[in-house]
Amino acid sequence: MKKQFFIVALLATSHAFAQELYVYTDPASNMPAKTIGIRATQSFFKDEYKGTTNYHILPEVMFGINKNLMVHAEAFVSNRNKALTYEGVGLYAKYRFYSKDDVHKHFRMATFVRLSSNNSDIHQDEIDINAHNSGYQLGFVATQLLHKVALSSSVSYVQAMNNGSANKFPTNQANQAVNYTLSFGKLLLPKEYTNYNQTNLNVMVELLGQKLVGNSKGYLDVAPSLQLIINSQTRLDIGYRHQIYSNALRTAPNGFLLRIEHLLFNAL
Amino acid sequence: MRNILLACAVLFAINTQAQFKQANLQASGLTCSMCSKAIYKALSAVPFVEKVDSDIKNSSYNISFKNNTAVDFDALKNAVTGAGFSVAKLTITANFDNVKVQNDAHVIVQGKTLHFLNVPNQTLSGSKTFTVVDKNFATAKEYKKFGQYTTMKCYQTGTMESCCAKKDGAIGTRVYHVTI
Repeated sequence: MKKQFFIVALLATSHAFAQELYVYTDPASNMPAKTIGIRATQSFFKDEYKGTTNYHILPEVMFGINKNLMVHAEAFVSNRNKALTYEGVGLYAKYRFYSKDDVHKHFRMATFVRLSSNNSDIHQDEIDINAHNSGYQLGFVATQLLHKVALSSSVSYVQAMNNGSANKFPTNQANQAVNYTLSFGKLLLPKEYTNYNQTNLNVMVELLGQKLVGNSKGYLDVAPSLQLIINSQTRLDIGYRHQIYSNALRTAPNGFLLRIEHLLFNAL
Repeated sequence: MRNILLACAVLFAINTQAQFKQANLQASGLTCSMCSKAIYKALSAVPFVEKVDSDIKNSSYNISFKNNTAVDFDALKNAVTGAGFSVAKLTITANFDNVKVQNDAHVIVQGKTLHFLNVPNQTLSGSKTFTVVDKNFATAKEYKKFGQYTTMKCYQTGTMESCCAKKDGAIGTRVYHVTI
């Protein structure tokens, strides 16, 4: 199954301008220096046990500190426990340490760290420190843009911690994991760039996996998405995340993502 | 060593009248219009830049300079790298007023030390365009190629070295390596 998706995604990108502003992962490239970005990510995942829809909203502010370093700060809000509730905050930083550029192509590598504090209840095996768990993540990402094809892959180590004193991490669950991702992107429109006001339409396919450390549990998801870039400055993402395989307990593995992002150039 | 001394001995410098008018910069490492706009915005924010016209498809930018304002090529390069990309090619168009140029020698133009490489000895008059071939201003391949036309250490460091003639400027002065 994994192999089939790999082939489909490769075919999908082989005749296109490459795009790497992925919806579910971050490429090794950074946002421009002196730029501030504002972003709101909403997700709608069907809870397999309650039959309800879990709504999460993550307001986020992003800073391009310099050409190699960018930092994000975000808040976690969800309705998983009835009313819409503030659940915590996260910090994310990425440092690009290698860059080889040529006309219309590049290869880049970066390391990233994410720190999260979340006070929601712990209700599944899956570790997600970007909305569900407190903890930290350390990772490495490499992105290749080669003429009209872009590929990006990351691997990271995730450590979950107690969600505050009220929601201790269950002792019978694995609290460490390895995450791995593989992403492809393709530009559908415009066929030819003439100005910055043209709306861009991108299509992406991403594979998102997790392997818990200490037991044999894990999952693999596929996440196709569409992206509009308006005025070369505002981004609108819509994606659907679908579980291909899992032997880990996940309360809401399938659902939609909707995101809006706006960049303010020369703002720092 | 003898070659270096010989090269340094033939150096000459004339502080000439010339006006840098505009530049054409090709950036590398991008394909998307959001990336291109980031470079456009960064170049537009450089103080001596009057106007930027971009060719998104070819990742190239026509940059016109403000009149009677000092131009700094490094500031153009830093705007591109700050946006997250690299400079693949930078050409500068200037109005020259009888500027004598010798191959593999320094000449001071508008307070800027230019080191001409792989050019015939000539006198520049009127509007002429030259290409900057320094590290981070050209592709690695181009930078390497022009390295064969000089033995002077300033090509590696980008600044005036002890082998260079003192009248061309103090050690440590920025030197741009260019060709026509």
